[in-house]
Amino acid sequence: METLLNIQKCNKHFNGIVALDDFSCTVKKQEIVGLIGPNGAGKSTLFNVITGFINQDSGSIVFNKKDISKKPAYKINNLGISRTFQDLRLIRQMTVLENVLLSFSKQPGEHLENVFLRNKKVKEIETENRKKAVELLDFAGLNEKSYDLANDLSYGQQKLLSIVCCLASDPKLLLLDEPIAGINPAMIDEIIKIIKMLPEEGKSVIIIEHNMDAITEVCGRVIFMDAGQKISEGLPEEVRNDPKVIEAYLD
Amino acid sequence: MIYLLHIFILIGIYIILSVSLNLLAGYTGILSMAHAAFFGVGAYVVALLALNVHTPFILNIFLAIIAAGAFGAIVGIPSLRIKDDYFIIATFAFQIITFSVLNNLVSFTGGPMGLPGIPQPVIFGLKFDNHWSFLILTTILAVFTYFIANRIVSSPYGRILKAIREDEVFTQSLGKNVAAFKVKIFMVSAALASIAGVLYATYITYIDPTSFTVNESVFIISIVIIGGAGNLKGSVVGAIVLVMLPELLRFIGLPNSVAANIRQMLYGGLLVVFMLWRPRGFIGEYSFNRNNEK
Repeated sequence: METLLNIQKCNKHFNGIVALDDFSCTVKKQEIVGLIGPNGAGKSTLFNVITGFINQDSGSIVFNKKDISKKPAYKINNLGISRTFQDLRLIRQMTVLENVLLSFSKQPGEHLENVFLRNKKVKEIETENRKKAVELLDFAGLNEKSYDLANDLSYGQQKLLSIVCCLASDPKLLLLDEPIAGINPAMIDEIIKIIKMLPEEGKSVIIIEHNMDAITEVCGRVIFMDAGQKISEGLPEEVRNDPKVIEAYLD
Repeated sequence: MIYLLHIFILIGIYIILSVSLNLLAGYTGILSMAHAAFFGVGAYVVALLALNVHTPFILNIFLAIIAAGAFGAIVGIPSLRIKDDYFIIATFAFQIITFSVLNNLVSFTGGPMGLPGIPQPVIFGLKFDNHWSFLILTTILAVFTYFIANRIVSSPYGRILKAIREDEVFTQSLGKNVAAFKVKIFMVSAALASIAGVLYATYITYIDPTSFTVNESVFIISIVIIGGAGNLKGSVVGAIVLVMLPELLRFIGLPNSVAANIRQMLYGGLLVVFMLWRPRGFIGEYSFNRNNEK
């Protein structure tokens, strides 16, 4: 399979603390990669660097044959990388449906001039997006909550909604930061089911997660990170039994 | 009767100011202290054009809107790079600078003496030279402003403004160019505020810098907060209440000199009371005292 994302020798320091240390990795098309490691290993920093929320000190990131190392966050999303946040971000004062509608990319109605002009086109796309949003919410089993405020959903449903928001822009790569941490087992199964379907839709995924059973179930390949470095990489079972990994956890 | 019409005209002017600020402060969560400056830009542009170039009123309105929009970009582009309290201080500084320029550029703006004798509006031979006709003109422009603002907030564009207010990082992660959205709505807000300036200058027919001070900015912010941030109807209610309230003081028999001072205390007191007990204002959807840290 073709390479989708190629990270080469990325470095990032925060006032002397090393978050990424010559980190390199690749993600192929239609692949699910697990990113594991102790707290403070630099996993979320890697997500922030890929998505343009943090600029790396050095190194290159190539996505879909385009260099995205220096691009701002919004452009990177438009190129086809969507993400969720560890601290779960949504627009809590909006309804579930509005959150999804907001997430569609390149809407004509988002241009100020189109607020007054091209009314027909804007309405057309808005109706189309509404239909797609309802389908997505149906698919995720959130359709009954469409008109509730995002804030009124349970924690697990909010996490699910944040994944639905990612899917709305039809990305090629999803970065999911702890998508199943702290939620009930039924909801975990629901979310895992959705994640497992993504490669068939032509999407790749990187998941940060501490739940090793879930990682073993969904990921074809796992990368273990510590102190900003890649310590081990391979099949989930291999990485789990790697002596370097066991040593890092015991430290 | 004339007195009542005068109050209604003022209410119309303040509706334009508060609705335009609400787009920025209430919907996008950007609290600007420079709104009176844009009010002033509209007033001075129309006054200077009418007095020196004698261009027709309709053209002057357009030029005032464009000038205020451009000035909005000049203020907005640098100051929107910083956030929260620092942004408020930056717009505060622009407000002070605008006042100082108007006050000291005597050869151009007349300085503290102001600009007297501004001609009243004439549109296609129709003269707006009495209270009734001016009230109609004010109403038309206030409705126009409300219509534009309402169109913006109920569009997909407005949805992004609200998202920026609630969580900028999330909005950015969805592929929206947050910085560009902020600058554009800042310009729109400034441009709409200048319409109020045009009305004010041609209604009073005399302007001086003291009408466009930071106190005026605070007054407009009070209307937005007390009426209700994030709700356009709130701004209309707020403008009606806050313009009428001090007028009521006259009727309880207070001497004018006392009433003027009580006015300021009343606004300040109301603002404190609302911030403490009803931060959403009469019918608002957004409260500034909420902890938005995320």
